[in-house]
Amino acid sequence: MNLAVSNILYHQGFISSVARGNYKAPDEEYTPTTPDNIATRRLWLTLKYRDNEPVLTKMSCISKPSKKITFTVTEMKSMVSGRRAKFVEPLQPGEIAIVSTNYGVLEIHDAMAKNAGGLVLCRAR
Amino acid sequence: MEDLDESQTPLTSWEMARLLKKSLVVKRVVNMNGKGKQPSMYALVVVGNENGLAGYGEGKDEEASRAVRKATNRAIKNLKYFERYDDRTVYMDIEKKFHATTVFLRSRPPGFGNRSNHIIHEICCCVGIHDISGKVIGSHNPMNVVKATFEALNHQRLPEDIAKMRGKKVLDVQHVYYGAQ
Repeated sequence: MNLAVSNILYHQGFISSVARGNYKAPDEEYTPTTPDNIATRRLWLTLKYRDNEPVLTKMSCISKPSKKITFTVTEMKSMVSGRRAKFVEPLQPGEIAIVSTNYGVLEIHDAMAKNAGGLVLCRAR
Repeated sequence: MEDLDESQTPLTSWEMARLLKKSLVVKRVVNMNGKGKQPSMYALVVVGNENGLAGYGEGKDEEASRAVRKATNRAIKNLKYFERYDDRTVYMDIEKKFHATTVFLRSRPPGFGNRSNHIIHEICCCVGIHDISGKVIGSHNPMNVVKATFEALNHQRLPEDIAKMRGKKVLDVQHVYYGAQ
C-alpha cells in the first residue's frame, strides 16, 4: 500500500521518483522481497522543490485507525467539488486525496471514474 | 511631518487621495519614564485601492489625528499587490497562524458577500475582495489580526504555480466552459 501511495504521488507530480531499496541505498537491480531481507526493505522517494519551496507541503491522514472514514461516490464528488462530506474538509485547488477501493489504491478522481467507493486514506497538497 | 509627495511613491497625489483608508486601531499608549507617564496615541491604518493594492501602517504621535496621518503615509509606502481569483475572492481556503492569532480565509462563490471578522472585512474591502468568509481563532488582538490577514493574503499559492511545480496543466472550467467573467 505504501508503494501504491508513493506511485500516486509520483504520477501526480508531487515527488521526483520512487525506488525500492535497502536501508542504505536504493536497489541497483531488482531484488525481490523475501522473509530474509524484509526487515531491511525501504522505499526511497526523491522530493521536489521549486523557488525554495517544497512541492509537497502537507500530507495528512483522513481515515485513522481510531476513526475509519469510508466514502460513497456521491460523497467523493461533493468533497472534490468544494463541499464537505462527513466532517472531512473539501479538496482545495491543487490538493489530491487517495482512496483505497476494491480496484486497489487509487486517486479520488480515478476512483470516481471507476464508480468505486472506499476508505479515504489521506490527502496531499 | 508632511504628507507624502509624488516623488516618494509611484502613485500620483490624485490616486493617493482616491485610496480607501481605514483606521482600524486607535489607542492611547503610555511610555513610563523617569519623568513619569508620557501618553501618546497609536494608530494602525489600512489603505487600499479596491483593486488588489493594499497595505498597512502604524504611527504614533501626541495627537490622534497626526498619528493617523503618519500611519496612513507609512501604509501608502507599504502598498503591495495581492492576487485575487476573478478579482473578487481568494484562490483557495487559507489558514495562517501569526503569533497567537489564527486567521481562516475561505473562498466563496460570487454574490456571497464579505462575511468576516470586522477587521478582516475592512482589509478585504480595501483589497477589493467581495466574496469571502473569514474567521479569527485564538487571540483577537486587532494589531495581530491585521498582520495575520496580510501574511495570509501574501502567502497565497496560485493554481498556475502549483501546476508548474507538479508538471500539470491548469484549466479554469468556470471561465472556459461556463463563460464566467
